[in-house]
Amino acid sequence: MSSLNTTSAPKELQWPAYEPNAEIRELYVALERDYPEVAAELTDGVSRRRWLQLMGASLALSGVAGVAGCRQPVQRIAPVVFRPQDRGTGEEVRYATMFDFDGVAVPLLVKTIDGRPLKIDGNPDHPDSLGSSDTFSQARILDMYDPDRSQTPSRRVDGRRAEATWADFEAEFSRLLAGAQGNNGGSLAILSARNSSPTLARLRKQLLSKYPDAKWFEYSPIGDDPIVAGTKLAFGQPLRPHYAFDQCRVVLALDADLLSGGGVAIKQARLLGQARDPESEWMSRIYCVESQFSLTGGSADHRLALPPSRMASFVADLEVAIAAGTSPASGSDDKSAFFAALVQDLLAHPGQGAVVCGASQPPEVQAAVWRINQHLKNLGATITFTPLEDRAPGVEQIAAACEAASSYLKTLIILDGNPAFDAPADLKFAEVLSKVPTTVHLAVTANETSHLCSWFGNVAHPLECWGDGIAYDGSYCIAQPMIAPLFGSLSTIELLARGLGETNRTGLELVQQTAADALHGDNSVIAWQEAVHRGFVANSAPAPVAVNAAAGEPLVRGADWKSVADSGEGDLELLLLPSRQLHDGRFGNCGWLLELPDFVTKQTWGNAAILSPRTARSRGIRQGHLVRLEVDGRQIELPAHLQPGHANGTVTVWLGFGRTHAGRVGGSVDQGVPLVGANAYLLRQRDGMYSRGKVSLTSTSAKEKMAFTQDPFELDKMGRIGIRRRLGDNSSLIRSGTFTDYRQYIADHGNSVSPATLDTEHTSTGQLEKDEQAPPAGGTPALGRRGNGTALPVIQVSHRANQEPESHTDQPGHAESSGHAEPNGHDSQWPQGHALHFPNQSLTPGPKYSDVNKWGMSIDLTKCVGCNACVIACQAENNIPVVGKEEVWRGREMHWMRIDAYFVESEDDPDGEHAEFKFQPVACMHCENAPCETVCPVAATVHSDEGLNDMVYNRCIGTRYCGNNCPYKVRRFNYLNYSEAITFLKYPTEGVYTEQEKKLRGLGMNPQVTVRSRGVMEKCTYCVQRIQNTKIRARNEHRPIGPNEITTACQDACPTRAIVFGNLADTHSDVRKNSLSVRAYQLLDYLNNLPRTRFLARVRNPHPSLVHAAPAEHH
Amino acid sequence: MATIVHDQRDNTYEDPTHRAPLVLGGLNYGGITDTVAGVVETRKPPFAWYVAFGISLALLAMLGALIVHLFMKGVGVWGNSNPTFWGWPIVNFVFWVGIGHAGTLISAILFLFRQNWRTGINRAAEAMTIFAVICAGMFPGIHIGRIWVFYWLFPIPTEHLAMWPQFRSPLLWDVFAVSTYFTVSLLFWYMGLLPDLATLRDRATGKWRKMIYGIFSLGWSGSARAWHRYEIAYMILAALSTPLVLSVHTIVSFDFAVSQLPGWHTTIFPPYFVAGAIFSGFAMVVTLLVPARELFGLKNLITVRHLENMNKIIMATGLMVGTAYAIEFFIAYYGQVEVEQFAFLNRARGHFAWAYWIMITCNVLIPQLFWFKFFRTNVWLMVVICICVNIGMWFERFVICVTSLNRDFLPSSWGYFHPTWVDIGMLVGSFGLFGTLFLLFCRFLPAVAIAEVKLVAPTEAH
Repeated sequence: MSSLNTTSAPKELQWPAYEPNAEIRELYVALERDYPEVAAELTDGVSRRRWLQLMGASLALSGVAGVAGCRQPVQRIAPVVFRPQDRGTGEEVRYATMFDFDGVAVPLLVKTIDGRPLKIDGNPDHPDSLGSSDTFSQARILDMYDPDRSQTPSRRVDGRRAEATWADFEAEFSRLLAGAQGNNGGSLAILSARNSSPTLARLRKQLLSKYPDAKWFEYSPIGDDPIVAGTKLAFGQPLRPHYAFDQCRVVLALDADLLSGGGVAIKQARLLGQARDPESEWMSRIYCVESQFSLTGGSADHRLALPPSRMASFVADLEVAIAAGTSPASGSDDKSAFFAALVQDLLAHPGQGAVVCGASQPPEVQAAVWRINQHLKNLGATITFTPLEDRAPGVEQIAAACEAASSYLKTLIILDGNPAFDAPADLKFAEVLSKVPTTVHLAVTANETSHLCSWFGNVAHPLECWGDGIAYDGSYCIAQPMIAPLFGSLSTIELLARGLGETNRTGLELVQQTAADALHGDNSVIAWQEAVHRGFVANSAPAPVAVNAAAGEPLVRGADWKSVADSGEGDLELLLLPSRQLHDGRFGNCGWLLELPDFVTKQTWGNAAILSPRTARSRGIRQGHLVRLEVDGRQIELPAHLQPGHANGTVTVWLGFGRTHAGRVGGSVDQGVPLVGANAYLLRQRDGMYSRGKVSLTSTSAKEKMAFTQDPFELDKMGRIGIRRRLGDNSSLIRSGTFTDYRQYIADHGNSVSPATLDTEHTSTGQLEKDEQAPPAGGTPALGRRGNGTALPVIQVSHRANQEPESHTDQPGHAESSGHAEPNGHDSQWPQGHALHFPNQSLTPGPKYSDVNKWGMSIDLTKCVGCNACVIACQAENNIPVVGKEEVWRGREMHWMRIDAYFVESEDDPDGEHAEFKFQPVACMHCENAPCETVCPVAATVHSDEGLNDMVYNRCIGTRYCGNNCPYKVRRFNYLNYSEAITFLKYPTEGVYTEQEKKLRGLGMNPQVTVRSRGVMEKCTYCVQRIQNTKIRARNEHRPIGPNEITTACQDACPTRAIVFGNLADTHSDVRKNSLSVRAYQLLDYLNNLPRTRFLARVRNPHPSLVHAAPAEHH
Repeated sequence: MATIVHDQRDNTYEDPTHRAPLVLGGLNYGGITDTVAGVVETRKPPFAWYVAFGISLALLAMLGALIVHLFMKGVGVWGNSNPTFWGWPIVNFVFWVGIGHAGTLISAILFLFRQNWRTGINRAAEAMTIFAVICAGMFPGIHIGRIWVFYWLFPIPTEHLAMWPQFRSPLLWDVFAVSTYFTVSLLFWYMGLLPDLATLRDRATGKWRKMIYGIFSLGWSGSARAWHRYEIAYMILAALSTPLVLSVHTIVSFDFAVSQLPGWHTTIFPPYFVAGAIFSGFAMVVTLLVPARELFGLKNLITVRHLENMNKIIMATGLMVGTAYAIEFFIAYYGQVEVEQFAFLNRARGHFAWAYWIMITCNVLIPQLFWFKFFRTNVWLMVVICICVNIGMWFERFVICVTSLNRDFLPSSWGYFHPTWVDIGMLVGSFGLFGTLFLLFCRFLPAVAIAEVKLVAPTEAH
C-alpha cells in the first residue's frame, strides 16, 4: 500500500498527491501476515485499521488482476500508513471537488478522514454554494460505498449477464472504437447524459473529428430544456437566467420550485433567505402559482393552486394586466383578490421583482413570462443572463438516437444516464436498444440500461477520479479524486481518451489540459494547484449578456384559470415531476434518499398519486387506495395520497420510482427485492414530458401500505381538531405573525430581550419572585368556547394575541390595543405564546451550568424552507441507519432531525382548500430540565455541565422510558439491529449483505461517531464530536474557541442559514444574538423543560389586501 | 369424603339469627381434610385437567419460543414504535400485576379485618397472585432493549460500571416494588402452606411424595408451640403485606404518573390503579375458582357465598374505577391544559375510541349487573361477567398506555399503533404460563387452606 501525501505541496494546498511506494504495501502485507490476531480483532467495519486491511486487500487484488499494469505509471491514492509529519491519524482533511448534476457542476467540499471520503458539503468559496449543500450532494457518499455498486464490468451472454474483467472491457471498448474507423464512424453513436464537463466536450470534439459521421446525442430526463427554449423564443438565443432574489421585493413563481431540484436551487434558497430577513427594513413577498406543493409554495406568502394547463391563461391575463399598468379591481373571490394584489405588487416594484416560470411549462408560456419581466424592468436588474451553447432539447436528441438506432447503428455507447428507464415511454427505448448489435453502457452502478446492453463498464465514482464541469454561474470547476477507485476502474473521460488512442493520458492530465484554457493559458503549477485547491477557477464565470425580449405572439390561452372545475367526473390532468427524493431515479438505490420523507407529503419508500382532497372525494377515492393511471395503454398502479393545496382536477406523480434494477435497497426483479413505488416514466411521452392534459384514473378498492413519517392530512376528526387547536399563530409549536406587525412591535419594544432570559437561574427561582409581584398583563385566565362548538375551557390569552389577525389593517390603533408588558420574560416575545397563563416556576434552584460554554441552537422558521438538506447531513454525519419501508410504516424511522409539517385548516374547510402550511425542523432540544434524564433507571442519559443532553450508548439498556417522556419525541430507538452492528445475540443468517459487503458499507461510516447496536436509544447530540474536536484543537493551539467556530452538520448544510449553533455564553456568538431576539421562543415552553434550542417565530409578509383571518381559529 | 349430607341450604341467604355457614355439606374436620387432600392424592385428576394442562403447556412452549425469537432479533418483533415506545408488553405487565393484587389483599387485609370467609379462597388466590406476578415480572424483564444487561437495573455494584442505578426513575422503584411484593407474597403463601403440607406429608403413601412434602413442610409438628409461632408470624406477614398491596400498584402507576405525558401525568393514578387492580384481581379469582370448585369437588368449601362476597367487591371497585374515569375527564376539563384535554377527548373520540368504549363497557357497565343477586349467585353468569372485567381491565391499561403515547404533544409524531403477531402470541402465551402454574398448583398443593377452613367450620357438624 502506498503512502501519501503532500510533503511537497504547500500546506494550504492539500490534495491527494501520488507517490508510488510499493515497499510500504509489502510491509503492510507482512504486518498482516505476522500479526493475524490484530487483523482478527478488528472485525468492526468502522474502524480505520480494518479499512486499511480491506484497502490493502483490494489494492493487492487490483495488482493481481493486472489493472495496475495497464496504467503507467501506477498512481495510487491511499490512506496514510506512516503518518506524515504534519498530519495526525484520524484528522479531518477537506478537499474541494464537484459533481455534475444534470449538466450543472455542483461545487463541493469533501471531508476525508484517513483517506476515506466521509461527508460532503458545499464548497464555501464558490458563489453557487457558499458551503451549503442539498440532499443529492450529501447522498453521493452512500452511493460511493453502496454494496450494490458494480464491482466489475459485465457483458451480456445469451440473455444473461456475465462478469468480465476490466481489461477485457477496455480492450473491447477500444476495439469498438477502432472498428468504427472503417466507415468514419457512420454506424457509431454516443448517447450521453447531460454533462457540463469541458474535458468531455473536448473529447467529444476529438471523437467527432476522428469519426466525422458518428453521432453524439445528449439526453437527461430532467433539465432546463424548456427554460432554454423559452429564452430562445423570447430573446432569439439560448440563455441561462440568473435571479438576484436577494434584491427582489416581489417574487412570483409559476410552477417553479426555486428551492429544490439540485443545481442552482441552493443558491436561490440562500438568496431568497437573505431577502426574507425580518430584521431588515424590507422583506420579499413570495407569490406562488402551482399545481403541486413545492418548497417554494411552502414558503410562499400567497399561493394559488392551478392545474398546469391553466397556467397559460393565467400568464396571459398577467401579461395583459402588467402591460396595462393598472391593477384590476379586486374581485370578491379569492382568485381575483390574489390576482389584483399580485399585479399591484409587481407594478409597484419595477426592477425589484422576478417572475419565474418552471421547466414544466411550455416555451410559449416561458416566453410570455420573459416579456412580463421585461415590462417590469426586471431584466438586467434582478434577472441576468449568461449565454449557453445552442443545442437541441434532450427529448429531440434521444428521439433522433432512437431513430438512428432502429435503422443503421451498429454500435451505441451510452455514457452514464439510464435511458432504458427514463426515456419517454412512447420511444420504446428498450426495444430500440435491442436492435443495435453492440451496445455499451458506462455507469458507476449497473442499472436498467446496463442490463440491456451487450457491455457494461463500471466507471469510477466521481469521488474517485479527476473531472471538471461548469457550474451554474458558468465558472470552471475541477473534481479531484478523494480515494483510488475502489474497484480499480477508469473514469469515463479516461476510457474515452484511451479509446481515442491517447493510451497513456491519465484523468489528471486530461483535466489539466482543459483547465489550461480556463486558466487562460497559465500553465504554472501554482495556478493549477490553486484551482484544484479552491475547486474552481476564480472569475471564470462569463459576464452577463444584455437581452431584449421580442414582442411575441400572444399566448394561446386555453381554458380559463379562474374557472377550474372543483370536482367531477372525467379525466384528470397529469403532472409528472422529478421526485424530491430520487430526482430522476438515479438515486434509486440510495437508502438515505428513499427513506427521506418528502417535504410535503412525508411519504418515504414510494410515490403516490397525489390528489387534492376535494378531487379525491368527488371520485370516491380515499387515502391509500390504489388507483390506476393510464396513458396510451400503459398503466401504473399507485396508492392515492390526499394533499391539501394540490390543484383540483389534477394528479401529480413523482418520477424516478419503480426502478426494476436498482439494487437490494431500491428494488430488483433479478434479486427478488420488491420495487419501490411505481415507474411514472411509463406515463411520460415525447409531447408531454411534464404534464399531460388527460389521464384516465380508475380507482380500485385495494389498499396499499404507505410509509409516512407523519400522519397524512386524512385523519380522524378528533386528530384534525387537535392539530387545528395546537397550531394557531400563537401556539407553543409554531409561532408566526406578519412582517408589518413585527416591525411595529420592534419599533415599540426593540428586537431583543434582556440577556438575563438566557440565564437558567433567572427562569427558575428568580422568575418566581419577580412574577409574584407583577403578574403578566393580559394573562387573565378565562373560560371560553372554541373549536367546533365543543365546550372546552381555554385560556383567554393576552389582549394582543386576540388582535393579531386584524392588526395589519388598523395600524394606528395597534399600539394602544396592545397589552404588552415590559420586554422581559414571556411577555417580551413576539408573537406572544398563549399557552403560558402563568410564568414557569420551579421548586428547585435549577441545574448549574458552566459559564464558559453553554451550547445552544437557534432555528429561524422564517428562513427555513424545508429542503431536507439538514436531515441527510445529520444522517451522513452521525451514522444514522436506514430502516426500510416496513419499519417506517411502524414509525421507527431513525432520523435525528426531522421536519414537521402541518396543514392547518379551518373548521369550515374539511378539504383543506385554504389550509395553511406550516413546518418546523425538530431535533433534540437539549432541555436544561430534560424530562428524559430523570426517568432513565440506569442514568444512560445525563446532562453535561455545558448543557448537552448526553446519551451514553453503552450504558443504555433500552427501557425506552426516556422516549415516552420526551415531549418532542426526538429520541430514536434501535428496535432491531438496523446498523447490523455486532450484538450479543443475533440470528446467524440475518441480513442481505455478506460480511465483505458490510465492510464496504462500513467504510462510509464516520469514525468519530459510535455505530449503535440494537436495543439502544439515540438522538441528536448537537454533533458532540465536532464540539470535542474543536475544543481539542483550540486547546492545542492555546486559544479560545471562536464565537461561531463550531458548526453542526445540519447547520453546514442549511442553504438559508436558518440553523445556527454556538455558545450562548459567548456575547459575540450568533446563536446568542438569535436567542435574545423577541422572536425567539422555546418549543412547548409551558412544560418548563428549558430547551437550549430556540425557534425564531415565522414572519410572513402577506399583501395587506389579502390579510384575512388565518385558518387556525382565533378567539 | 364426608358422608353425612345435611344442612344443604343456600348460604347466601342473610338470616339475622344465624351466621351463614362457610362450610357446607356438613363436612367435619376430617371431611374437610379429605375433600382438599383428596384432590392432590387422587391418582387420576379429572380429564378436563389434562385438557387444560395440555393447552396451557402448549401456550407456554409458544411463549418460550417467542421469547427466544425476541432475544435473537430484538424488541422490534413487537409493534412498539416511535411515539408508542411502550406497547403491549407494558400493558400486559400492568395487567398481570393488577391480577396479582387480589391474593394478598384477600389473605392479608381480609385477615386483619377478620373476614372469615377469606379462608375458603385465600390459598388459591395467593397462588394466583404469585403466578400473576411471575407473568408480570417477565414482561418488563424481556422488554428492555439489551436484555443481556438487565441486571444493571438492580443496585449491584459492578466493577466495570462503578455506578448505581438512577434512583429518581420510577422504573427503578418499580423493580423494588414488584420484587418486594413478590418476595413477601411468596413467603406469606408458603408459610400458610406449612401445616397443610405437613398434613399431606402425613397422609402420603408413596415414598417420593412423603419425601418431597416432608422437605417442604420444614418439619412442621403441629405442636402448640409451632402453632403459636405460626400465628404470630402469620400476623406479622399479614401486616407487612398490607401496605405492599397498596404500594405495589401505586408505584406501578408512578411509571405513568411521574412522566409528563398528557394522559399519564395525573395525580389520581395511585388510588385508581389500586382499585383497578383489586377489581381485576377479584375478577380473576372468580374466573378461576368457579371451574376449579366444579372440577375438584370443592363446592362445599368455596361456596356461593364466597363468590357472592367477591362479586360485591368487584362491583364496589368497579364503581371506583368508573368514578376515576369520570374524574380524569373532569380534571382535564378543569385543569385547562389543552394537551390533557385533547388526550382524554382523543381516548373517547379519537382513532382508538373503540378500545376506550370496550373498556367502559366491560369495566363500568357490565359489572352493574352485580346489583342483582341473580347475577351475583349464578356461577356461570358471574364467570362471564368476570371475564368481561378482565378484558376491560386489559383494555384500560391499553388505553392508558397506548392511546396516551401515540398522540402526545407534537402532532407530527403521532402514529397509530399496530400490534404484531408476537405481541398477540406473548399475551396468549403468558396465559399459558399462568395456567400451567395454576394447574400444577391445583394438582399438587392443597387448593384450600385446610387448617384455616377448619377454624370457620361449624363446630357441631353432627
